[in-house]
Amino acid sequence: MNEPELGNKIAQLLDRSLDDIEQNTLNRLQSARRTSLENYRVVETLVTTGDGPAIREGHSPRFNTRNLLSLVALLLVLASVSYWQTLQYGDENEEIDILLLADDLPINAYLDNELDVWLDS
Amino acid sequence: MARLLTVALWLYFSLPSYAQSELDQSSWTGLSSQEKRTLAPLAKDWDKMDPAKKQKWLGISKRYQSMTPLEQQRIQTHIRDWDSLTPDQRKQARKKYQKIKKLSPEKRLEIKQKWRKYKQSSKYRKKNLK
Repeated sequence: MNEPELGNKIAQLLDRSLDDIEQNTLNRLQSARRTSLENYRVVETLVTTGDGPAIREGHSPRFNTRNLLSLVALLLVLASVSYWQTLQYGDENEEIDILLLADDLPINAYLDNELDVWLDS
Repeated sequence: MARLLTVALWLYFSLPSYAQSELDQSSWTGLSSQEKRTLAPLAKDWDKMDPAKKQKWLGISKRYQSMTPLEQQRIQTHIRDWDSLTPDQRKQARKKYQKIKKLSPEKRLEIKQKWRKYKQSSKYRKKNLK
């Protein structure tokens, strides 16, 4: 038996069984369905924004647009920060190097072992 | 909206590498006149220098402006010597500089005087002839 045939057979069985259900049970099922539909609402999500008020949002197109715009703005800010940081990149030793270069001792003095002797004395 | 998002994503991924390539390609002729003046001792080697080194020297040239004329003169004198050092030698020099910096002003002066005296000595000349 292939899949469509099996489906048809199950549907026939269900239809036949439906006829056997008592009226009282049918009424209760219909009532439960109605109640369920009336209570159905779009799932809402609570998004908190730091210490500020909570924003209640549903699945509206307006919400999606606002979300996407925030994402675009965030990406632009991150790209700018990253660009600026790359251009402003500084060596961690830059500060000490410039002080060393501006010092009155010549560079070779720092590499001379004699200096160690004086430093340790 | 999708187009805007694509542009933002493209900028996000391409801007940092664009900034890096800008730095990599900074040739001597592309430097400002102030940077050229400060880094003049490095002019000959600048275009062959690796990007990280260039960035470092450009950073130093920015600070150079706020220094006294005497300090600027010393920097000009020491730039080439510093650039010719190996990373290990630079590390060693920084370590000793920091050690000296922690000393009292009197002790610092004493060491500098000793150095000047030592520089005139035959011991120093002999050492530097090798």
